[in-house]
Amino acid sequence: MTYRTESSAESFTLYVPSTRTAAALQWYAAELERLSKWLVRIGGRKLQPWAFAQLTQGFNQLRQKLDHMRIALPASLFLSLQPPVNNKQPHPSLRPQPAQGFKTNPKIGILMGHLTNLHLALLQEIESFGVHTVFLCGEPIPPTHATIEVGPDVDKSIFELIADQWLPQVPYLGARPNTNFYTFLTNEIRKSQLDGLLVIRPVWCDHWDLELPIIKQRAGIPVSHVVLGCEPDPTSHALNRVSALIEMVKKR
Amino acid sequence: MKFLPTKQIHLEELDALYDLYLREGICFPSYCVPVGSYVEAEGDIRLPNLKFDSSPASIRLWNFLLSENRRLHTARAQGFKIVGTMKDLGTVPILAYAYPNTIAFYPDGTWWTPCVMELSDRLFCLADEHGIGPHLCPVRAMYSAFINKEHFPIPDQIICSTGAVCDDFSAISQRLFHLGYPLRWWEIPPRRPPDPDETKVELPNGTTIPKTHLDFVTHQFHMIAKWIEELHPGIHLTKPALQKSIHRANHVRRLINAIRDITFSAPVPPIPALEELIAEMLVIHFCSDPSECCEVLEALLQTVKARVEAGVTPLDPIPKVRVAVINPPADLRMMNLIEECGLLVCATDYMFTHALIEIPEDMDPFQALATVALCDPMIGHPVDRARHIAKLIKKYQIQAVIVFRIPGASHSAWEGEVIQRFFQESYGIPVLVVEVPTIIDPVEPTLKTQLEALYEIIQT
Repeated sequence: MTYRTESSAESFTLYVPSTRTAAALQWYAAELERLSKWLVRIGGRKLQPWAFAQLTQGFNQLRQKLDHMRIALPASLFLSLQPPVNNKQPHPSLRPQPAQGFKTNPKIGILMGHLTNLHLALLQEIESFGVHTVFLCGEPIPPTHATIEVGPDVDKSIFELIADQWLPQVPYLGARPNTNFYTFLTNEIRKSQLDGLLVIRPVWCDHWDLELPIIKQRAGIPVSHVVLGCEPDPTSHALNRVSALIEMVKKR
Repeated sequence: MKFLPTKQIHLEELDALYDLYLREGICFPSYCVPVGSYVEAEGDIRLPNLKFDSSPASIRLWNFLLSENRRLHTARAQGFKIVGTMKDLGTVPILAYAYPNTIAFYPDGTWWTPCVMELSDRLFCLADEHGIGPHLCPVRAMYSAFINKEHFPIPDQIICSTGAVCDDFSAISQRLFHLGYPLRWWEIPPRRPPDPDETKVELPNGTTIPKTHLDFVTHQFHMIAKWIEELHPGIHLTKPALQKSIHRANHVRRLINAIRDITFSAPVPPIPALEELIAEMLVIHFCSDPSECCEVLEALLQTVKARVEAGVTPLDPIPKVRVAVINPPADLRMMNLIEECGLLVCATDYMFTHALIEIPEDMDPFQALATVALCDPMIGHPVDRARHIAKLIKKYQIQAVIVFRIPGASHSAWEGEVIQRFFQESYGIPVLVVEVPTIIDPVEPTLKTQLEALYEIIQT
């Protein structure tokens, strides 16, 4: 659960329900509405339905493009386009241009919790082995495969639209039950013809930790995991594990 | 028997006393046996390391607690439907007990089994084998109990709360779902104050929340009722049936509150902290038998009243420093140790203070259940828990607060620090935060030193 911030700045905690029942989605819509009011209160502009429709259309197109890029580009390159990446303070081992994988080389899907420059550095190292990495999902990256359809005569509020169409598409491991995550994962493995899977698990995250055996069970391809976040620079340790995965994948 | 001994004794002496009570004509219910027999029969080998209250009421209390799994198996054999309720600690069972031939219990309670069986149950080892390691709350023992099926019977239905719950618990519940158990989740949102433009409601504990929270949780209880109805084709829960169940739950709550209040305000404690803890625990699901639960508590209340009237206590020496305790200890022995170090437990928050609040009987029963569910100390900020204890400082003359950290539990990571800061800044009261492992023996000298240091700080 999230604790309220103790900083003096005004903050808003958005509650995202764990379940995906109709009532929970309705609740989430109300939370989004509350967020919009708060944004207006701190100086934002009220979102009009027509503006929302326009924005959504733009986002849908952008996400479609991003989804193509996600599958085609090495994960490190794709992720370096994302907002959480800190370009001002790059990790010392980050290269200006990430190494490219080749189509004939093994394809490894990347699942991860959060994204830091350390993750990018690790991915670049993996890609330098000639591996084609495909980013699948991670917590701060919005799902690129999801779209929101706004009909011209739709009765629903924009918040209900987001809640009903967006949230159920998010492959969130912490949802209860998290069936949607596994549907997404198996689809992605098939669609991208992955040879292996690498889970970059955030340290102390119980959700990822406990789902690992299930991911391994259901993936049907070799899976390895590394933990990032407990050491200042754990990439060498992580790379040992990844090399083992690559060897296994190559032997298949 | 003219004179009932009032003392704290070891298991052997307690069993001898039980025989004496029987010879003297004191009656016990049929399920009662010498408490020591659970060591052999159930493997509860921690019991010889504990100190017990000597009263017949206490013997009955321990028997009621330790015989729960047998009771559940008997109920299953008799055709009762068993509902496993998880995490909300105190509310969903009331709904389940409103249905005929239905028993509800918390499989979460298995978290104490490795302690009571001194790890001989191997529940933690089994959990480790399944990748559920010691970095998680001891509640992971529950997962293993579902696998080896050596403890409670597998429930016909499992209803678990999610949302504002511990990550580790939520992740374990998901693993149970993967195993194919009939698990369903209902959602409890984190408690927050209402925004300026939101309609507010006041909860029975005085907290104000947005009305939307109450409406949402009320809806969740209607949903849960429908799930339970699936076990009883053709039966629809009526409001009077639920009101009756609430009424009975309130009776249990009143009994426990009376025991607590008399015990915490008495100049000398009429019962030890360990028995007080066990009595409190009964509130969450009535130890699978609401009627007997009332009898057990009534007997204990009589003992408490009689001892206060006589001015006697089983504790020798009498602890002097009055402390509040937050979180239940993973090892029951810790409750004895506190008193051995001169600390007297006179306020508690064992994570289910909401289950001690009387449920309003003058409103829609589903909404009434929702109001108390939303008082759950574990769905709010840890400062809410500190404030709850702070309200009792004057009433029970609290001199210090002890926060028991539960190893690996998500909520235990930071709450101790937050609570410590709250009491130090607002009240100048010392707060001791200690991690209590499932078996304290290897660290007992360290814990003892910490507790004694707290005692000395207060005394000087």
